[in-house]
Amino acid sequence: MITPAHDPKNYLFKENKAEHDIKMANLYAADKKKISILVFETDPDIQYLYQEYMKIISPHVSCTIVDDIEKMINGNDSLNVNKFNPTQKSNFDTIIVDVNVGDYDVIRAVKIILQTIPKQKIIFTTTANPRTIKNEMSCQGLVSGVHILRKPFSFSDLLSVISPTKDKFDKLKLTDHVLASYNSMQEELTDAVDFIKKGIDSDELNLLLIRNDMAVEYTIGVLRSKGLLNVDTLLEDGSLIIIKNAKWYIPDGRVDVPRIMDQWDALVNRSIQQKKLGLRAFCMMDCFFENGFSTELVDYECYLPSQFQIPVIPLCAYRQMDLDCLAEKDKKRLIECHNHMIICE
Amino acid sequence: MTGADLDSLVRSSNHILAIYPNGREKLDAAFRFLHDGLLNNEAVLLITDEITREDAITRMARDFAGFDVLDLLERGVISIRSTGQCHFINDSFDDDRTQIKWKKDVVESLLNSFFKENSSKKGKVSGLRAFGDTKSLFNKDKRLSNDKSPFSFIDNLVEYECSLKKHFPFPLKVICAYEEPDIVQLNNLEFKSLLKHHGVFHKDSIKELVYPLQNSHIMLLYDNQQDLNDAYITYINEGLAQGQLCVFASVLLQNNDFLKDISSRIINFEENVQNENLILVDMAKFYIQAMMDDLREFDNLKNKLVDKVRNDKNRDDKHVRLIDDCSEFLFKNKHFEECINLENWTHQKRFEGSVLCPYSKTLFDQFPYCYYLFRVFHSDDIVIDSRGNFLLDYVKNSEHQSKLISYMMKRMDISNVELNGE
Repeated sequence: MITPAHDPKNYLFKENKAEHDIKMANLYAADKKKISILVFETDPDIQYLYQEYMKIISPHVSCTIVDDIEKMINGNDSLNVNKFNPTQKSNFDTIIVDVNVGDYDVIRAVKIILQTIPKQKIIFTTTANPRTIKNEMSCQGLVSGVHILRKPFSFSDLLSVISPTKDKFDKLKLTDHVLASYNSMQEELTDAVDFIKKGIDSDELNLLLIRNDMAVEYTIGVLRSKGLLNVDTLLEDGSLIIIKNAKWYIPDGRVDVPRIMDQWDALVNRSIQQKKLGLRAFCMMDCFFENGFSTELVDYECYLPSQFQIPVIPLCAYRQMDLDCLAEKDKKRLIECHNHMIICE
Repeated sequence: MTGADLDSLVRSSNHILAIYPNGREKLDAAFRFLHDGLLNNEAVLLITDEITREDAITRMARDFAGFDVLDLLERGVISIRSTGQCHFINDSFDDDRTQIKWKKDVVESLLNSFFKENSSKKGKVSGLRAFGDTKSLFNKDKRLSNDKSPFSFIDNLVEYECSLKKHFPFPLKVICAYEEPDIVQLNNLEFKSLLKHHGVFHKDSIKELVYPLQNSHIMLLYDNQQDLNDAYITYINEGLAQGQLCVFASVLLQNNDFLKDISSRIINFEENVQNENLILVDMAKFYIQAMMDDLREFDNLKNKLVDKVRNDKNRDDKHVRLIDDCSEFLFKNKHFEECINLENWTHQKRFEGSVLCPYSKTLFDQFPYCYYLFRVFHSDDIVIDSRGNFLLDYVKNSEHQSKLISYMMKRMDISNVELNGE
């Protein structure tokens, strides 16, 4: 038994949590490069402004300014955004594009970039009313993924749109207790796949707790279609377990916390016995709400620590509509007992 | 008025505990507060026995320029009542009764129309604000004490206050006004109970921005940039006047308008910058690094400041005042975990002095920001608004509430000592 008893005190993290977080963050930071930005701008005055702005943050940000968008998309040099197609990763954290450049169809060009690299962060700059640009974007079927910065903009405006490319699970550590909220099943499943892929890469045992109305076979199909191509092998060799959430949490129609804790202990033990690094679990939590156990759910969650002492990382996946139903006090408690949150807008 | 209509107005609701040094300042504040209400299209209610109805009307007619006070009284937009007309002082109290009574007043006020030239928003009344003077209850108790009656108006007042919550589920702002000589008659337990049931605590003599305590981490929740700038100016100018090192670390320093406004209002700005009494730190680079979870530059800055003050033999007061808006900038731009990481760092790496971290109050009401509010705050944080009022609405948990109340009581003792000293 890894966890000696079901006393929450035993789950307290020995090291001061804040100290631990800072230490981990610094380790993470050591791996990071500088932020790279690609700017497409034809006006020499504004090009100069970019250069001046970038000087202020230059050691930490590299900026490339181009005035030929065709070359940027189709050329053969390092600026060619599509060149990074095979890994679906760009060399640039942020691409800033002047949307009003003569006859060239910038929106179409950006659409091509996003088709190749869906997660590319794109910023449009414009002197026009952003609403007009948004209308043009939606006419061309470009509905999301692009922010608009209206000219003239200040340095802090520019600063606020610059950011490093972030994968939402990059910073998670084995021992974190994660709360996530979703507006759609699609979002939730996409995250489930990405989350499990991380676990597979890190040689962890993976558990996926699915909704009662989802068939296991259907789920396997979805996982495969979303990029987990070896899902059958993973299930066969025991690296991935799929269980219906109601069976895991409320098999006998009640929320029996000690029993659930025993299950977690057993699975973490199993991961160790299998020489895995630990247990990673993507847990859809809707069954508590479907069965009228929202109060019991909050109590159960609060029984768990915000940081575990054992190698387990549960991601508690909530439907946003379920979270919205919770009383403010319960929501507060729920937030407090997790140490990382992923809130989908 | 439907439930949904009410819901849309609830954001502005508040239960405020205010302490004034004397009756004159209390009434001045009352008329200012009610006038602001009219300008904001709210119905107003004055509850007091300290001034006659006629005198109150005369004062309103004088102070509320542009408003036809008699007309508004007739239409129920302005109400003036005695304490006896408002409090169930001979009854027992419960949540439901007091809540229902206030809700009735609010709903009635919302039925009124409001078309005054001076009104900033013409149209329907948007809520009710009330100023409730508690003085007469203390006076009545004083008179009763001669009769040796077991009945206490003060006990009933505390009981009444505790039957109300920090927030009203309808658009109501109430100031419960106490005078300093009266509030000291309450024991610690009674005073703590009052604080627990109010969302905002105001006392003029507690000047959090003027005399911040050593090691305090102040979360300043502001309504707009101008209010925030005013608070910055108070914090820095007072620090400079007290001979303290002031550090203004901001991501907005490159914005000319911002710096122009701030620098024009800081006393001897250029001289203080030149003499390094005031240090300006452009946080743009720090912000970029914080986004990548690299806080080493923050460590360096902190060490530099500590060394500077320690080695400055000419500086007697070693308190450093630091304004740092980097966390808020991370928060605004939805780098939530990085913001939390930086706030954790700030709590770990304390130094001799105070840190002022601003946050826009409106952000905390919005999704998804509201989800991160209680992870950004720490139990040791002092939460105030730009006027230095303590905000008890924004406490993280019961531990935070207890700590904040203890802190406020400590501050009251300090201010009492200062008053005695004067």
